[in-house]
Amino acid sequence: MGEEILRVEHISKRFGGVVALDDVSLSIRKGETCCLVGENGSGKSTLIKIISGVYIPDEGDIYVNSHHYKKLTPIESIHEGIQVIYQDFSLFPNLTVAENIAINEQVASGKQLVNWKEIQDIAREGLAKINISLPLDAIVETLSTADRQLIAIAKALLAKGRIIIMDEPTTALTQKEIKALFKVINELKSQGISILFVSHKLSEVTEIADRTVILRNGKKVMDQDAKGLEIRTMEYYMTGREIDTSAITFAEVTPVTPPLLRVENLNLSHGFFNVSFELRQNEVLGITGLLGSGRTELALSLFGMLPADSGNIYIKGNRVEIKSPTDAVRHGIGYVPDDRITQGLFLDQSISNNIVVRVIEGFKTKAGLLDNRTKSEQASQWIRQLEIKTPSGELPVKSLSGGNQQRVVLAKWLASNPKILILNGPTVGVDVGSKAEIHELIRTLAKQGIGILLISDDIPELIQTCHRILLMRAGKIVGEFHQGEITEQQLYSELIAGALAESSR
Amino acid sequence: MRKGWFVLITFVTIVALVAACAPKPAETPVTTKPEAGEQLVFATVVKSIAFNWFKRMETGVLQFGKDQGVKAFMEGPSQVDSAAQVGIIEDLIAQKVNAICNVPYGVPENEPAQKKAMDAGIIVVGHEAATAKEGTLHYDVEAFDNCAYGEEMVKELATRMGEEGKYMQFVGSLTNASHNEWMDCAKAYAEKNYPKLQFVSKYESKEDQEVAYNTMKDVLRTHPDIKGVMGAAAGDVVGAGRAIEEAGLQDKIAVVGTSIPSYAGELLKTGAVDLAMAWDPATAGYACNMVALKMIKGEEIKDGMDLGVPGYEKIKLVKGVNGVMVIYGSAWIKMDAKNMDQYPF
Amino acid sequence: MLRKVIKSNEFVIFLILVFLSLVVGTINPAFFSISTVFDILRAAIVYFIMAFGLLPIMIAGGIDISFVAIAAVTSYATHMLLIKYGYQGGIVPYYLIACTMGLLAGLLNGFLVTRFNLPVFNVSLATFTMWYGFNLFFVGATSNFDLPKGTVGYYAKFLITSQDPLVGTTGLHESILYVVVIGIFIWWFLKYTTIGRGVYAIGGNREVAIRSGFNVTMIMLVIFAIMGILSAIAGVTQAFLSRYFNPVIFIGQPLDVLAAVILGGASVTGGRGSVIGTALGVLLIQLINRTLILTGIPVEWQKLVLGIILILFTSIPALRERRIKRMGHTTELLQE
Repeated sequence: MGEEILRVEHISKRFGGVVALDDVSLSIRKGETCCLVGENGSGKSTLIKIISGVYIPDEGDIYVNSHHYKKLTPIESIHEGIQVIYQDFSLFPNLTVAENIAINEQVASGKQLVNWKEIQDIAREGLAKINISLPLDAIVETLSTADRQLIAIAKALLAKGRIIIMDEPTTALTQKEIKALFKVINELKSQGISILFVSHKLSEVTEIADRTVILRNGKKVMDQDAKGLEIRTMEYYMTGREIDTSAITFAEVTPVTPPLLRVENLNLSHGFFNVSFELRQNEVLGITGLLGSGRTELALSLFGMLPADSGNIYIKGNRVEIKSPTDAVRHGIGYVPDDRITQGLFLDQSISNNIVVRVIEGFKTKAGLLDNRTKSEQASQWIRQLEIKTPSGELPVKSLSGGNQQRVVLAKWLASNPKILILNGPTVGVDVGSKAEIHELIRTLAKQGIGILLISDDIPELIQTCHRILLMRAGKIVGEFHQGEITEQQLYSELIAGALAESSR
Repeated sequence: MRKGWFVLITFVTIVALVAACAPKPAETPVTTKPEAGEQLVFATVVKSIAFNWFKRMETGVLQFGKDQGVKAFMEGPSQVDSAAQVGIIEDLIAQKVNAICNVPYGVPENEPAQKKAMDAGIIVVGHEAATAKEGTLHYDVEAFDNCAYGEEMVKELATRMGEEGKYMQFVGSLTNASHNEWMDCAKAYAEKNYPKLQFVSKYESKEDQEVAYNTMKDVLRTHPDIKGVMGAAAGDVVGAGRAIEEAGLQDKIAVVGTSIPSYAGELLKTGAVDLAMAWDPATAGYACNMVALKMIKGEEIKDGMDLGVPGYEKIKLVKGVNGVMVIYGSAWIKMDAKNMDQYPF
Repeated sequence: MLRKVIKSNEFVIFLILVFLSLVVGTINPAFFSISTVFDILRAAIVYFIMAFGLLPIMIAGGIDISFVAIAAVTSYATHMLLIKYGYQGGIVPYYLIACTMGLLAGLLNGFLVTRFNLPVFNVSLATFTMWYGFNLFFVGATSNFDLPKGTVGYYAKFLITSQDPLVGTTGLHESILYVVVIGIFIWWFLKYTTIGRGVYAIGGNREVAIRSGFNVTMIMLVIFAIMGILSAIAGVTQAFLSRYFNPVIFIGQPLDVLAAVILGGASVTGGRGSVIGTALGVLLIQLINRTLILTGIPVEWQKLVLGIILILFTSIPALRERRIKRMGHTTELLQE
């Protein structure tokens, strides 16, 4: 391992009365992969933003390449070779792939004029580094999430970053793509580039980390060589408690006919084909598959956002038409999207308002005015029940961490008493502690009689919450597994079998 | 912070505008009710003193003061604004002037202040306020009846067209009541009296002579045989005249409309505009004050009487749409290449 | 490549332009004349210039209406200043003085927007009112027809003239060259300068633009300065074309220019827009404004038609996004 390239010492940062970081020190050496782990609100994002120059620390010192700074500007940070891949990918949706990849270099070079040929060359070179080909002239907003992630990575690799900070880089990637990413990371290491890898997926951390640093409540609680570090130990440091996964109790599935939901030969061109299944009361039905297997399209179809071209949907034995989300809601179907930012929440509105937005009609007084007291009471009840961590329900949703925002989305749907709840990646970007709590919540909801469709590619999540798991591949259901009859390892093999077949073709 | 600055900027802007519009401190000494032999004080309040139009009116007001031995003066906001105008009237009430001649910017907005002045024993006569409500003015004085003005305009046009051929009309906007009344009456009169005149259309100039110019060009394309043009807004005949001049048709097409020499002067000289019609604000201001004086002297205002002001020799007394009594003169003036120099406005 | 052109917004407007011209020409054959083309271009000149000034601001995600007020105050104040000192020369000093004022007025908008982080629209609403008010109160409230001797006849400086039997001598006014030069400049600025790309970046994602190292404050000041200068050029040009200076010129026109830029493919939320599209948008609006008399359509209809076209065009990006969303799923499938 090489010499030290980045060191932060005794960094503290407060926002109003909240201490985000408290005397945190960290150092990264050349060619090292350091994993930064912590629950939501533990201060990971704040630390990243201080290193990249977005926030100014209240106290502490930063040393990059032996240069001392009390604070960094974004430009200084880039000049020192620090590159951040944010969760939102930091892309310009309106610009082409080529320009997105090359734009940082264009700005950093200080050139006042643009040479379009050069931009194309730079972009090609960047994509070559991760062995990917994308149409250079495509507008980024027309691409899938996975493609955008790749562009963001290519962009950072290109910017001659010597320290690359990856904030939850694998969230939207398929297993195959994660493998490819890890290969790239290992190659970068061999080139002497340092990686600060922020992730919730502890299995990934054990796979990639040279050193693991854990933050909790703004303090550093662990900093040690990753070799021999067990997931269980990391979980303990992250949450301050051990998570027990052995004693899970599943809801009793009600065997009455007709089933809560029956889908018959549902088709959506370019989405999925001849999909049929049943969902019963109290049941959690997992639907898994790789990105692009049609699982998301199926969820969107059932919620009316991408109405199916043909096929039948029955709710409690009655045939229903679901042509729009309004239809779906009328039939008691709720949908919690994977992208809570753009699909689920009004970020500037208060937590309370977000929770009650679907049931707002119910809070009308006789005079037709909004009964704010009942509204707040109901919202507070959900905030307590789902343990949303906030000092007040009147704060805007954007003040919450990712895991807590996800709970708000859940609360919003639960407030309207759905019979069927479609959860699409409910724990994407959520830390271990919250994840276990959300899983418990899903099981509790099932016990209360809701039928739940869980769309996910998180294998432990599926095993720990679902009664049955349907596997989709290329738009078709290709397998069905029952709880207790399949292990994580088996499910993992099944899941990537298609991808392997694909890549060997 | 964000909001604070915006509020501050808005506030500063508003203060600047209000300051700009606020009445100037009154220069007239405070007077009490006229005793015998004491000099009468007549105030004329206009929409804005910034317009040449009202500067011209001021000469009539001052002339009235000189002729009649009354202390007469004109006041008004620097920018058209009903609120500022009402403020000025309130000031005048406090000064206990004897009469106010008001040219309201917004007729309804000025009504309460006018009524307050009347209640304070002040004679209040309006101008360009024929739609005022009963009891908010003693009288309203109009240079002419809109219908009569339109008829006069079409008579002048018809004469110049040899009483036959196609003609068109411009209005500032299709929602401008006066403009449309002039033009609609003109059209009706032409239908009755000039059967060979052929109406083409009424076009909107958006009070913009560029629009009038472009419209005129397109009319020339669409109706090459057009023989007459009427304009309502002051820029209409200017824009139309330019297009006609460029087409070399100044001798073929008659252009008659509301305008003033400072707008249409060049085109009147070349003949691209044949006749500009207007009313002289000086005589209107004179007449407005004259009505007030006659009332103070106890004379009754009767239909057909002579106010002793040019164009108001035989007035018409009519009840306005909202009840106020309206005095109509026939005080239009007609300006062509020959006499335009007499009207320096 | 060809397919890309055909699918582009610009091509759609171009088709509408052609279609509308054919309709008008069929109803009134007099429309098909070189003098009509010259006339429409002449009327469009100042709108081209203002729209080119507005375009970068709209791409950066701002909506401005104050450019018309800047055009009015710079042209009118320059004129009143020059005639006060008895100036009788040519028009160059008009442009120089007005452009300096326009630069400062543009920078004021830019300063308020960047320094206090205010929405562009709010600032422009304030400066719109402020400049027209300033003009009326401090400069003068009446139209002025006294042009310096050196500028008389400028309105008839044509590059080419055509002799039309109906409307007489019409020409392609030389100020169309300003439009060409400015259009090429703005195109080059947006496409080939780092600042220009920054304009698109800000409109695409302001936060990311900051993170990428763009100097957002400087970029905003530059585009407001450009807007101020172009507004001044438009104001002076219009005054000389119409041979008088009007203190409230363009007061009703900001929406015509905004509509043209939006028709040209700019999005009200920023990130999109092109010079060619904007130019076509201006022509389309001018053409629609002219069809009224040529076709004999009543004025109310003209407004309705314009409204419908605007609704169609503002919904095109939304429709396109929906299609892209569906196609996005397709690409995922194909990639697997």
